[in-house]
Amino acid sequence: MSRLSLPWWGDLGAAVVLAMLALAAALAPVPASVEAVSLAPLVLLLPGYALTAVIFPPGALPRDERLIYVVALSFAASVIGGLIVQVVVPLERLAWAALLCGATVLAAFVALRRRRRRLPRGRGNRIRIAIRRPALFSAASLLCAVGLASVSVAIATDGADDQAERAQFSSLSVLPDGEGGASVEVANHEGRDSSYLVRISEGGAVQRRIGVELAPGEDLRARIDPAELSGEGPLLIELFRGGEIYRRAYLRTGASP
Amino acid sequence: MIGPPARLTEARFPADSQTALPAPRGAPPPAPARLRQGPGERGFEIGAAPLLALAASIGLVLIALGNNAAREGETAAEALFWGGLVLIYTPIAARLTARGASRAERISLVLVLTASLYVVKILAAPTGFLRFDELGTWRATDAVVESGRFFASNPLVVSTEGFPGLEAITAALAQLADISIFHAGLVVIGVAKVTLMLAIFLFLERVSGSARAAGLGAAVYACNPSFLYFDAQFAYESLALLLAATLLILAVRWAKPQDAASDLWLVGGMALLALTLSITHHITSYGLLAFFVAWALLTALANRSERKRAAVAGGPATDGAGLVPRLREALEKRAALRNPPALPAVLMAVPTVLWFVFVAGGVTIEELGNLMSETFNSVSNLLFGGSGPKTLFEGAGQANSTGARALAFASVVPLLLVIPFGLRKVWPGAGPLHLTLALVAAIYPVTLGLRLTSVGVETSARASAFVFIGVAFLAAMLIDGWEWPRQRLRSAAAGLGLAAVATVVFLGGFVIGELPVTRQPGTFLVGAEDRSVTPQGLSAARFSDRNLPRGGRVIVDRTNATLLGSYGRLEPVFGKFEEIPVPRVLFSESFDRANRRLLRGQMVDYIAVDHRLSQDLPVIGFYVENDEPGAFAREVSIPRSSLRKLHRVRDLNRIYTNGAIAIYEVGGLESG
Repeated sequence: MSRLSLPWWGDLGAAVVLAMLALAAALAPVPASVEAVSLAPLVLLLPGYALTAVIFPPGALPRDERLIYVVALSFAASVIGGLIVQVVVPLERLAWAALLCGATVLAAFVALRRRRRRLPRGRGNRIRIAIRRPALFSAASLLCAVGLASVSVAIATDGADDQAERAQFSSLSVLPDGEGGASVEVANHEGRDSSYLVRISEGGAVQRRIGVELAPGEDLRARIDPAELSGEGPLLIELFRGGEIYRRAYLRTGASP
Repeated sequence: MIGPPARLTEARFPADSQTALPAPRGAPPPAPARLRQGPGERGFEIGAAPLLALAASIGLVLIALGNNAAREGETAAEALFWGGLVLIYTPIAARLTARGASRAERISLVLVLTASLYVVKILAAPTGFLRFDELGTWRATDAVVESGRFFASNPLVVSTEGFPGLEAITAALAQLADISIFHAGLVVIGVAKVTLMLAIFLFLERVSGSARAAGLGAAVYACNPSFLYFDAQFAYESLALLLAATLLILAVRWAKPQDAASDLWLVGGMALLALTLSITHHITSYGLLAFFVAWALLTALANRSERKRAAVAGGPATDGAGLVPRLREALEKRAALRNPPALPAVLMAVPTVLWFVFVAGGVTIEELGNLMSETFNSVSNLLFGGSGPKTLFEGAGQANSTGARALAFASVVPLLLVIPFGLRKVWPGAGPLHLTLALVAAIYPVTLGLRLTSVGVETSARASAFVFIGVAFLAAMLIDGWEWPRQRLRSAAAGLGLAAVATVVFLGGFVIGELPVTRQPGTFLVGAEDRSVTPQGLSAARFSDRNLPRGGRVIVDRTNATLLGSYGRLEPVFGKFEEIPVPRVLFSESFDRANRRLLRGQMVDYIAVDHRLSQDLPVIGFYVENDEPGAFAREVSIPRSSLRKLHRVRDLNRIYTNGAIAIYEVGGLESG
């Protein structure tokens, strides 16, 4: 076991610095991984750490109990802070960052004032944080456990993806475009390349045929101009696959010019 | 094997030995920690925890393989799944019974157990939320992300409108870390769940004075039927439980004052958490408030009888019952406050009442009022012969296997035995807090009774997360008080026997809490919650999100309502119009005038039809909502012709179809 020795303000100073860095990361363009690592503690840990320090001075709490208050009070900062701020401005990314950074700094300031008052006079007031390293075997076992748990999630994800791919279907849609025409969409979820024929008819008369081969996950979007439509009868879209009608969609009202 | 009644001493809070400043001048020396530790306690020794974490992770791989096998319909699926659960739970439960484990090891074991079981929930749906409540909460969170404001209406889970706590945190994390709501939700609930179990461990340690009892209690708490899936889902109760447990620990700290914490700031911390809890979840707020009130009343009663006794004796009484020294100590610390739990009760009551009156009363009544009245009606029908009992531990449309039912029944027996024997153990010398916990445990048989009705199952499921705190306390006190064999072999045998019983309770609890068909993923089933969510439904929701106006009103079955109402950003319509139930549009043989009146009256824009509904009866007992005509009583499924009738209606536009699901636009509807 080793001990980390910090000045009496060291832990809260670190919390304030981390909160400010997180705010900077929210303001500046940074890589996604840096963003996640620097900004997630602003929601999950930092405000709660400072708020816990306001309530309990160092040495008043065992580490495990402190952890509970850190998480719960961080959540409280988001909920109550968000409740107040959303009355004034919408809760966008910057608003969240400013709110949670502000809560951390304010709470740290109050905690430091309180902590200073409790200090004995004289120099050398330091916080000692015990750092315990687990044995090599324990650390290796824990790492393996985390690795295997990740493998299990990967296996389950693959299984879910495979099941989704087995669904094998195609979708057809038709929507009025608001200008008297219509838009048609065909999406291939068959899990393999598929050939389709789209037949567009109005009032029983075929207006257009579109033949297409779509890769898995690919879609076809086609627009029917108002000029193609006479307005006499419903607009019928038929999707053929393997020479047979596979899907049918229609606009019976409101599609015609 | 039951030893003499233990004298309970609610332990002091130990000071932090890891992070310490020099003591201020004139400060009294810190109070010595009185927590009982295992003989193996040697600081930060986590003993067998890494090895058991490895075993648990192998269990997770088995479960993942089992779930994949279930998706393929293979027979090994269940064996792999249940085997994995046993591999996670049993070794940890066995080790928690051991006397030699250190406190750090016990905490590590509880955290490993919780994290592993949370991963089990993720393995069931690793790519996105599937459950009704989860998709309802997704919708509410998406509304916060999109609008930057709270309190958006939500037809899927109406009460999220008045309780935006979880949505606020998830939206903050999703926006700041630039991750999806799904991933942010997994992180928030995961952190909350693990911290909750740490809080439960510390709370039980505080009230029992024993780390071993706390570990055992945590293992028993994990047996509650809602633990594995319901209270691990992305929904407000999962977060609220952590807030409640934290507030409970702070309240216990308040009731047992220490020099270290300032009263004023401690009260501030409690008030902050009480307000957060009030904003987060109704039932948890009311449950915790009831707990504090009961604790305060029992404390007042204890104070009163103590004063009487002291008056008769002509001086302060010392009856050695355990309550007196603690009361005297508390009163000395706070002379003006004779009932310490009263303050947390007041702090909880004020925001709860104000939030109900000024913000969330309407949605709370709408949700809980329905639930309570339906439960009351079901129970009164059951008691007075209006209906027969539902078969215990059976889903509405799917039967448990004989083995599963036997497991469910076997799991209840030890818990029912724990209550009287546990009460016998703690009653002599019990303080008000212990009595309150015992009272909570005594509610457990009532929650079992609720499971005799179809509607009461939901109330029972919601109650178990709270009731099991009391059950865990009694079980922990009972087991920790046993005279454990001194011989190593016998001790190991006793531990294994106990772990075997605990495993039965754990597995049986899961059987009780989860429908047979939703324990593992699998092929499509009608009206079976997550088992009804398919790529076709998701595709329809994506189409709707891309192409249809947000907030368009849609009539649709329950499963597709969750998808179209969340990912599809439409507004599902439920209820009745002029006594015409909304589901009639889907169920009726022909599209008649009543349907047209309903569509116009409800200003419906779309009707989404899942043609697969005619394949089978719904597993949960209803297709659209639980008070629809024929709910829980249908013997045949919806006729195919009823679902295909819309194809013949000349003023409906079929704007989308994928074979399974069609979406009709209600355009220019004539009176017909």
